Amino acid sequence: MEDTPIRRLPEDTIADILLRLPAKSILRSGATCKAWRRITTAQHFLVARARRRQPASILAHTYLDAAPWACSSDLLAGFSSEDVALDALPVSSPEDDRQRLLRYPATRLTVPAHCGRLLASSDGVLLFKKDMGFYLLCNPITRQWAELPRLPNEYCKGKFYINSDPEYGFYFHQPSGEFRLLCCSLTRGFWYIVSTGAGKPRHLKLKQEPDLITRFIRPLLTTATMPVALDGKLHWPPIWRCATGKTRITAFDTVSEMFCQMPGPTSRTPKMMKLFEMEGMLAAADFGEEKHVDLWFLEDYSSQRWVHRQRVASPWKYGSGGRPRNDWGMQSVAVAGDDEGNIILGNNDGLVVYDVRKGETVRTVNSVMQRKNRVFVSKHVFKGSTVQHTCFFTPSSADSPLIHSWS
Amino acid sequence: MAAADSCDGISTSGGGWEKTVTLVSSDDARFEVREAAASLSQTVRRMIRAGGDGGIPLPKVDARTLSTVLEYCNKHAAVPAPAPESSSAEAAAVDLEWFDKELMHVDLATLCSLIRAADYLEVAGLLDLTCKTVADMIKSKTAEEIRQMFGIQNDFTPEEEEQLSRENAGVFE
Repeated sequence: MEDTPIRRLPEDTIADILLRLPAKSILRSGATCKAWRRITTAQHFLVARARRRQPASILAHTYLDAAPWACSSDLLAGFSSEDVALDALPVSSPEDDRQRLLRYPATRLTVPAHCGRLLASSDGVLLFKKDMGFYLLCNPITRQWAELPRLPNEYCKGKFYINSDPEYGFYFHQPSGEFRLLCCSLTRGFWYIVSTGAGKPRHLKLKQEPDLITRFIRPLLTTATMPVALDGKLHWPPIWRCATGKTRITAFDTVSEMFCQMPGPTSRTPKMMKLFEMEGMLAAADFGEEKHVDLWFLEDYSSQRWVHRQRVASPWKYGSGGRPRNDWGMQSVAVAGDDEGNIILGNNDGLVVYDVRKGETVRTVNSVMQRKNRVFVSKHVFKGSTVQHTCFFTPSSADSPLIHSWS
Repeated sequence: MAAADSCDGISTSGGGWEKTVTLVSSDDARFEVREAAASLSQTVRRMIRAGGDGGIPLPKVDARTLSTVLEYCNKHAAVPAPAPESSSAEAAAVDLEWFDKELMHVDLATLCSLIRAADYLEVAGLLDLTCKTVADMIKSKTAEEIRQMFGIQNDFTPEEEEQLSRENAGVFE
């Protein structure tokens, strides 16, 4: 056989390269020749791959009767009669495989403002807002915590929380290894970034006025889809459309720290669209139609070409009223895809798993995920991570940043 | 880049009293490098510790490849541990990313030589970068496109191929 450069690489190195690929590409690579087939089907390759692969999950809130928390002197515990448990449901596993990540006292929306409220999830890390200008990061897999630097008072002004600075994006910044929170101060007219590695917020210099951008994206608390991170950019779903049905996606480049817009899928109902990531591709699910959900994939990022690939039967029975009617309802709709080719989509009134390879709905998932069980599907997607970032610490029970348990 | 001499592997050339070592490629080219940069290679680091004189022989890496590896090491060792607050740390990170991207603009043969060198020299960052680059080349391609790109012969029998496509139904659309 011809001696090409790649053939001269040792098999271990080839395996190292192929391990970095999504499942689909591994299958394709294994079909190129016998040697690669052997590599991709070897036991140690499969084991290494399983270890590397972190299944994509959706998060659900389960409300439970309050546990007798040890630190009852704390205001938090005093006000709470219920606990919230955060559970992860992997896209490709049965419903009873929910994994309990964290449990903490629920708090009313009144005093104290947003204690322990889940704001976002990125790279295996959950972002909680504990109070005005006070953010906690938690990796429930490594059971480690981190804090973002507390915001100075002038950032937290405003009588009601709607006046305070909204958070727009939470992401892992690869070049610096920091977790960062992108915020906008509308009253004072600038964007800024709070990061695990910096002592104070850093203001961004942008060409556009802040409100020019906030017309196109919603804050983390109210956005229908959490911004999707891909290739160092955060992507928000479209809100508006023009007469032809063309939509625009707004993106934030986390390296150059600039906003830009790119074409979105064609839709009559952009506010009913969810964005998600699947096998390294940006994807969209359009819930605008009564009977079906349209799946779009951005097959080639550089040419920005969206392809309408599939049409999934609606997870809701016709006329059942389960389908969200507007973008507020879209906030409790979950969509996530994984490397196995499965997509989970729906809400408490109808949740299904669709297999894009088979082109059919393979499972209905809402026997447990029901309001009557006090289980609520969330819009958050979670991929566990075992990476131990330097800014994280393992607290002792005395200095735990949030009253919580892991089960 | 090739240095003429360095008998004990320590010299004081350049702006300061920085320790340097001499690396010798398979085709006998000599490279004088800062020890901090050379130590990004675990292989070289072990050899420095073991001592010896007349330069460190690297019989598995040719001069052309070694110069690229050292370009990488010099650049990455030059970056001080980030003082994360400063905007210069930010700029350095972006710059480094650019540098890595530029370094990967090479043909496949060079890329494979770099992978082998990074593997042998145990330069973890470079091995990761090069493997990732090749993985990105494979990512969106079909089996046939992968074969063409790498010059791989399809050695499956028609029956085996039939079975493969049955197993992988839906993946090859």
